[in-house]
Amino acid sequence: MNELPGIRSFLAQYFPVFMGAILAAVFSLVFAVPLIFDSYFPRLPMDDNLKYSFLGGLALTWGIVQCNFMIARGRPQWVWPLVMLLALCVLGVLPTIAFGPHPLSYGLSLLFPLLGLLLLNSKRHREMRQKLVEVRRLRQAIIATHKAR
Amino acid sequence: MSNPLLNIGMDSNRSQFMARQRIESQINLPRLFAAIDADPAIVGAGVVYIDADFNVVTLREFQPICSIAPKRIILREAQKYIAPAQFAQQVQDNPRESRLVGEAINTSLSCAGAIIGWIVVLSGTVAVPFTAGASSVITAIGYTAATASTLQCFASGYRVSNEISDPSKNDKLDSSEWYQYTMIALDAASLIGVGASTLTTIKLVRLNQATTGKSVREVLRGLNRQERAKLTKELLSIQDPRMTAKMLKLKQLSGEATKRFTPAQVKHATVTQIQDALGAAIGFTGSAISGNVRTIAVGLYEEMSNE
Repeated sequence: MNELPGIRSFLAQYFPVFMGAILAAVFSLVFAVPLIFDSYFPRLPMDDNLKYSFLGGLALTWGIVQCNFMIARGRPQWVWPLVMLLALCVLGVLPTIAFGPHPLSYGLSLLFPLLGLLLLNSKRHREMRQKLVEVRRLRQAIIATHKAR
Repeated sequence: MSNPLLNIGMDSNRSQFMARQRIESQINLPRLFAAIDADPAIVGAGVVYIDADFNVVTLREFQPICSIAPKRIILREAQKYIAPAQFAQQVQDNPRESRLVGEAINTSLSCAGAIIGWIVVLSGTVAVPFTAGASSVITAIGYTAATASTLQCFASGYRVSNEISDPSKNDKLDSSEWYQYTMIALDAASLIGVGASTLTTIKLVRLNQATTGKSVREVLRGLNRQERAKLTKELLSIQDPRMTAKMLKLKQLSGEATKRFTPAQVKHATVTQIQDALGAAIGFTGSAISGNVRTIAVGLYEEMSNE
């Protein structure tokens, strides 16, 4: 596998779509989580509302980070939790229209997860996941030969 | 203030003349000026007084001692029919509108940090086959940096989202203890991740804490993003001494290039002193005249050139 591209060309080709997917996922949480909390738990005192939505959002963001890290390490099946999270964002946000949300935050909280799903489904992202699996195999082989020595 | 008469201390109409007479008889001007000149950052700042009837009286012209760009202390008297609490609210609420832009800028900065973290992760991962074990350390550091900065990206984005839907949530966040502790943890984690040197970071913060007597949160908060970037660069230059001279020069250059004039804030201590100087006179005579303690807002404004 000596046709493996250099780091620079690899980044130039795949980093935008990789980062775009991460940012889209983070921003869908940014807009969806407060909206969901405001709509479905209107009786929660503001302090608790903020605490749960902020810390919950942080935990979910950590989940996004973990998934993407595992993808970068060459385990493409970790893309499914991401897809589920984004789908849940869309499904959770859609009915909140009944609670009269701010139009901008409602629009953005639908736009970002859909954008994220689009990016994850793109040809580039699939290609990158495949390439990263190859890199992982290569890495394991090299580490194995190092240990054998 | 295009009227040339104002610049030599003359007032254009009778109402302003009367206002000047009243203010000069009520406020201990030398003491007020002394309080202002005690702060090196605003020595010789101009003093403008806006009274309840919107008469603008220049008590003192700006003298270019502390800076070339004019700085003015604006003292604004509350309208008589507004309660002090309401007035304070009004003054505080005024800069509210520009917060969205500030939060958005903050978000883009911390998301830029996240992007750098992820570049490290991805390039570290791809580089591993070539360098074997050595760059797995880079990947581990990258994981910390990417995690912390992505979480910060979420945290600052969350504030933007609040600012859009309900700005009072952000005020609530700022006053919550759990929020502050979470942000300390994130700040520390991102500093450790980017600087890759736990000891240095904590030492620096501790040192700062010892000299300023501030809490860790305050110290970290006192450093704005740019300063934090500087601190990170310093940490990096400790690790690689060859880079220092070049970096310093670059930093200076960029510092000069990005210099901007913004409404500056008077230091808390100075405001207190100014209010003390005002309070003794205004509080007493004011209540004697109108039966109401007079409320005054203090603000410092900087500008690029004379209006």
